[in-house]
Amino acid sequence: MAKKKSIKKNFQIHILIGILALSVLWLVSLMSSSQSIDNISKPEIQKTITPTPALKTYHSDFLKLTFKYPAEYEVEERFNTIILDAEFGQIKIDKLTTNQNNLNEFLKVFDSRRTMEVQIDQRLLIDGHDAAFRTHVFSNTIPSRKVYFIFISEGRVYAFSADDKILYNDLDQIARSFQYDP
Amino acid sequence: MKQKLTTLFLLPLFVLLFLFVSVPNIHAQNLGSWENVDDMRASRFLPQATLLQNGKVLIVGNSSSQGESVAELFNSKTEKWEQTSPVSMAIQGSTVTDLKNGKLLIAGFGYGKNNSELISSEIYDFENNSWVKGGDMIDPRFFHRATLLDNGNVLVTGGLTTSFSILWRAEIYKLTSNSWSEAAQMNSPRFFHTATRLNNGKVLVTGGQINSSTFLKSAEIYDPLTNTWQPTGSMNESRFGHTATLLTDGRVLVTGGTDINITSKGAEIYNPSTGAWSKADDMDTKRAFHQAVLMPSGEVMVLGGSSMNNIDETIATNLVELYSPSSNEWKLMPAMNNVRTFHMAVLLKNGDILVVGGLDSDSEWLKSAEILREKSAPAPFLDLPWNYEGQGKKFEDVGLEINAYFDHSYPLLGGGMIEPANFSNQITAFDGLSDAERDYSRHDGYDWGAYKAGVKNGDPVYPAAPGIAQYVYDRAGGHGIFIDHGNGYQTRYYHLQSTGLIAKTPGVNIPVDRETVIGRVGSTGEHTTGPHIHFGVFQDKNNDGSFNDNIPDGATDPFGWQSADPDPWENYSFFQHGVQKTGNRSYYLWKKKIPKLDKKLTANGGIFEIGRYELFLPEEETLEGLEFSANLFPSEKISEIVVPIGQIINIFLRNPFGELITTLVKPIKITIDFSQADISRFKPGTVSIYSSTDRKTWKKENTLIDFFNKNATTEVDHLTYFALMGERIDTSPPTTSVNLKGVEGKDNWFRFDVEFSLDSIDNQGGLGVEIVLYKIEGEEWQEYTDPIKFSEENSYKIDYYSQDKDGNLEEPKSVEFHIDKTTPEVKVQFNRDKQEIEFIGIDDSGKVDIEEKDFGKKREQIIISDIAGNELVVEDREREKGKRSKLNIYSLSYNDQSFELDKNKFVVAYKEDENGEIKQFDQKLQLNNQDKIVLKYDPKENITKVVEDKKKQEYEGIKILQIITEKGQINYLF
Repeated sequence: MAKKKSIKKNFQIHILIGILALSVLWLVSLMSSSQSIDNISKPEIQKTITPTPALKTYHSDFLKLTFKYPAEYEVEERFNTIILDAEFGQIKIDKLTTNQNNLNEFLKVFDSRRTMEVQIDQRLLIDGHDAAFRTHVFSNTIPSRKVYFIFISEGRVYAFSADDKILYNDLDQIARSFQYDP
Repeated sequence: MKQKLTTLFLLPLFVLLFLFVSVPNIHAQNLGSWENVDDMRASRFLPQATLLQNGKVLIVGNSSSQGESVAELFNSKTEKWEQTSPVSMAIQGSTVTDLKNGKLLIAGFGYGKNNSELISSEIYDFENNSWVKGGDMIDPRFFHRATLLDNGNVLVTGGLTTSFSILWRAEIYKLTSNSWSEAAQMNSPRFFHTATRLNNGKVLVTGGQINSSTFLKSAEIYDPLTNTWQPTGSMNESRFGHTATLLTDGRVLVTGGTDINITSKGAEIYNPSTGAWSKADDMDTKRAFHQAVLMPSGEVMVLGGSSMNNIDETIATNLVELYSPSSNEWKLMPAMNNVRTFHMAVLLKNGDILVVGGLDSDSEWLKSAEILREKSAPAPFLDLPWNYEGQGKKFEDVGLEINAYFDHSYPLLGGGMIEPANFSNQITAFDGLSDAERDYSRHDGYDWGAYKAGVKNGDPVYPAAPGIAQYVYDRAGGHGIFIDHGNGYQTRYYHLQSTGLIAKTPGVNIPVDRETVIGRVGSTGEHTTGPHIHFGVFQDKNNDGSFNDNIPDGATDPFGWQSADPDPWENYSFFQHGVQKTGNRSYYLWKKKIPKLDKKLTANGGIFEIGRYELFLPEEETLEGLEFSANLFPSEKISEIVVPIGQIINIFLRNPFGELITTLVKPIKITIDFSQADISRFKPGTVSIYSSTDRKTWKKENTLIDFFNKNATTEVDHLTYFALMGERIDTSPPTTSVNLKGVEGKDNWFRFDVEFSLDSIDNQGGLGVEIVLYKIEGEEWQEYTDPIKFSEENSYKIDYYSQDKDGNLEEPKSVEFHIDKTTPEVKVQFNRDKQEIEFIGIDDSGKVDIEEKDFGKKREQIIISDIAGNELVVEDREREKGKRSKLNIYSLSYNDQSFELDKNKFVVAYKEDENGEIKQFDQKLQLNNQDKIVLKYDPKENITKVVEDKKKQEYEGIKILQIITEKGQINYLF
């Protein structure tokens, strides 16, 4: 009788141990699986810090605009035009006057006066105004240009342009930072 | 990529093109008038004048009849003659050849200093301004010709020897060895011939004299490569003393010259390709020993010379003509101031032509020099052709609201011409920027529209300036009006409505002024994109009274050219109907300014505005960019009489090296607006612009006062401080007087309220009092407007002064016054010296007068009055004097207020012995017959016994009982 008891007791212990072991195993497997999930869902991220070039703000009372531009540009305002000069080229901002009262009509007249191919023509809003950015390719030796036209109101258009691809990113940044200051 | 390569390939060509056509950018039709400059240091016959790379002109040779040779330099910037290192030889009939290495070769013959040796060549280093002896010529000669060859050597041909033999021989100066060697002999001896280097490197020699009676029409060509001479076609005329000019197309123009008896006015052209001569149009004037100058436009100008009808009749001329190879025509140009022959002419870097020396008709040697200058820029005369001011706008608000610009590359639209392909799709505006986003290519005028410029459909269009109007119509422009302004310019207005035109019949001339409506804004004509004004300006470049033959070459940008870069339009050369033309120089023609003209001066000058100052810097103030800046200073008195009207301006000009420039090549015009100033305070005729270099010493400049437009203008050729000043009419300050109104006692003491008032008067002839100021002590200055009442008892000090309307300040003055409304009191006591009761006035002023009036019967009045006139009257009804003094203050009257006192008595008994010792000194005050206080002095014990209200006390020494009045009461103390 005592032996039975002892066996029973041993058996219980073994079961207990077995349960414990299983629990441990289960826990371990849980941990390792979550680790492996982590490995999948959270790959090691390498952070690199790209220094953001400093931006300056330019405002013109005469031309009634403000924009931000990279600090390496030198700015010159000449009558109806602002020239941003950098080592590798120029970005120009023209204040245009037109008889047209919307962007589409303006572009229609603009295109009619030139022999060129408009390779890109996308519409957007800049500072709440109808705008278009385009790429003009000319049949003569004028280099192709990327131009933003921002139509303010009846008769007023601003053109931001660059003829060197290396300036296109800066052009985007500058044109899209435009604010009209009447 | 392909486009980039193309650009890279073509770019240098464009650069070369611009270099070639842009410097110098002068056109003969722009030449205006002759102006004498300073005389040379010596009179010269047949001098050599050579333009150096530094812009100066070296003059060498044949100075005066004494033969002394002096070289001098003409500084074209200062237009002054400068000395150069003396030439060691007395050069006669020499040649000067630019070796293109900073040195010149002078070849001929002369003698060293003190006639020491024969010298036949000399080298001048113009950078160092030094001279060295050159190699010895094989044949020293004069009246020969020298030609620079492609290899840098110099070919010398013909001439006269020192023994006056006419030479066949030629020789070559070798640059590398500074030596001479013999060249092949010409086919004919010659002097006063011509020798011209051709484009193929060979040298064409023409004409000349072979002996005293034979003049040549033959020509021959020298080939430097083979050292040979070959005859070529002969001229149509024998010529001696003629000119030969290499034209831009490689042909050679020969003009004038003389035969034995007759001077020619003929001209002919040699074609190197064919070796043949063709007759050119005759000059207007016969001339020999004249000068010919190749203009950058390709035309040839001939100047002066002499004509000989027979051997005894030689007449020098001052006439000048211009030959156009493209049209084969001569045109008369402005004549020189002096007739000249055997003179020299040279084209300066700035496009002017310098002429020096020569002989006059009496064969007198000349030392005079004169310059043919370009026409000066026209005075601005245009305004915008619509009533923008009526819309409440200013020129600067709307002038730059441009729909379409004048395209400086190139405005060929009116001529129906196509521009070079690389210039289509872009414009070059007056700001110098080439732009693909602005409208529009080939445009030859300006478009303004409704939205921003305010030019709306149907609005009246006005002439930009007065003139004579004509109607035109063309398909592209629609209804148009052209206006001739009588100054060589025409303005054109297109796209007008068909109604409202001032005329509708072509060819009818109608005088118009700025008020005349010439049409209505419309959109007639093909391809218009909405109602707008098209406005164009054209110049009658050939001065023939017609503008139509100057389309498009007369197209002018009324905004001028506001860039330091060359104007592509001005330098553009093209053919129209087989005739070579060039573009036009644009000047700023608006009478009003546009804002933000570039601070960098351009060749076209500009108008700059700062505050009330407008500065007009003329075109070609510099040939390079100058940096302009200006500061304003507050006005400061220069003297009591001359004062600035408004601010002082300080103008700076710096060259590209940052150096300050204080002397100007051309005068600048300074205009000062005094519309906001009151110049009525200045003596008439004294308002003027003054200048100074140190703001201490000022100089009056010649000034034009425009009282209608209220501005003053002067032209100066120096900097830096300027101010408008005038002599003041009123230099004396006003005079202010003060008035104190009140009941005055003495010395500004008042016993009642005081009214303070000021009265200011300016001097006679003055401009009047501007302001009166006062300051109460301890307070701030304030403006006096009305009398001020002072009521408080106090002492017052008030400063005051006035300023008149011309700022003259009175020296401040002050006034003091006092208000004392309090009457004095009195102290009554026994005076042992006088042995009587005395009255002592008490007053804050410290200044009281006491008067006793005895009315008899023991009644008296004691009147105590202060300086303000306040009075206390003490009425005494029981006055006794002597050893037993008695006083009864019956009443006290303060000014007019009386107080009757309770019955009182002040009694004093006093005795002294013969030694003056007190024997008795009793003092008593009774009130209502009761002793109030009694003092008895005991001389033995030297004590005073006091009984006060029946209380006894003793005090050492003598005590004096004092009765003091106070506001109608009496008090006592001892």
